[in-house]
Amino acid sequence: MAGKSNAEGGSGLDPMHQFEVHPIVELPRIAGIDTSFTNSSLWMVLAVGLASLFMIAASRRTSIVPGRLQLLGEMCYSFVANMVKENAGTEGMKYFPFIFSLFMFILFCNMLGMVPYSFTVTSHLIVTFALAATVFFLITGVGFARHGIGFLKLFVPSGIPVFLLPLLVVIEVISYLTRPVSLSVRLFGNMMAGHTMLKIFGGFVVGLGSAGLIPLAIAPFALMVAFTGLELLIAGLQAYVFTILTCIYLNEAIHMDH
Amino acid sequence: MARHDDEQNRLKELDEKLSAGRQRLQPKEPGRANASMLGLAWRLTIEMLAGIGVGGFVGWWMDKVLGTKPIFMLLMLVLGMGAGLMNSVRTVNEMRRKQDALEAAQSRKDEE
Repeated sequence: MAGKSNAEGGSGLDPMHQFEVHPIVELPRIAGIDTSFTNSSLWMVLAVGLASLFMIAASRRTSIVPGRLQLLGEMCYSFVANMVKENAGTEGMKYFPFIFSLFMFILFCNMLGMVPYSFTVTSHLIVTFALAATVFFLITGVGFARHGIGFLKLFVPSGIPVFLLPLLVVIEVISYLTRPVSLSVRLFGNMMAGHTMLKIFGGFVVGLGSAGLIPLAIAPFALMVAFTGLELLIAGLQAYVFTILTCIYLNEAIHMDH
Repeated sequence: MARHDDEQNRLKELDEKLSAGRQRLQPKEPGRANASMLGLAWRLTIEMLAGIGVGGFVGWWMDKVLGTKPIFMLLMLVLGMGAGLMNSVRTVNEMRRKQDALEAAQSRKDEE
């Protein structure tokens, strides 16, 4: 995060340093896989823990006139519930628990990333790709479970001359396979670009300030403030985009219409 | 029971007031759609690049399995570009549908 530049300062300012993964607790390799508990794992656990704590606390004492915490919890619930209902129909509500967990996890990871000195889990492609791949396989599974082999009709566009069909089926299959890629790259790209930008502007402020050019440091500082607001918006927005696309894909798997 | 009915009525009144308030807040929506133009640009770029990337990868993998180096990779790369383009066109169409629906709703409200 931006705040880190204070600690490093000077010439060794590296905007990518914040994305480094390093082990906190070294654990033995199991079947060639490093199982160490890293800073990335720590922030994932924190995100899951805080999200669970938040929902448990919000639903602990429920009343007709909700308190602040309950209101927040209910807002999250109805926001996702409406999204699922609007995009995947009432049948999509069967998968609500999964989509709600997905939304809360991404939202908390993104928001925790905005805390100075924290680590942004979603700024790593492998993390977002794992999430997107989970969504991809689950939704493909749902499609085959509901329609059997008929789910493959999804790849056959209607109203196309026969001689073009083989070509278009291949294109449709590729376009289906790009979903996890575009889904994960979007989230990862937004988070990484935003945090790098914050860090660079933070570096300007510190560099100019420590060089005694404090009046000059005001401009990047003002931009920093604006960008921090923008990043908060993006953190929420990207969680929303990831979830709504999951709903749209789910709708396709359930109802099979383009 | 009278007390219960009274409560029900009050709830209904509150509900009406709430939905009236929500209606007042509605017209702000189209502005937000414009603000996400950057998001749309991002989406289209990623969509196209993902098509090329996935197409190339699938082709490379097929070549490795079938031992037919560069044929499938080249073929799938081109088809991947097609898939990326098609995805982008779909995204834009979907966005335009949404925008049209919003504008239609807006003009209906203005007429009222």
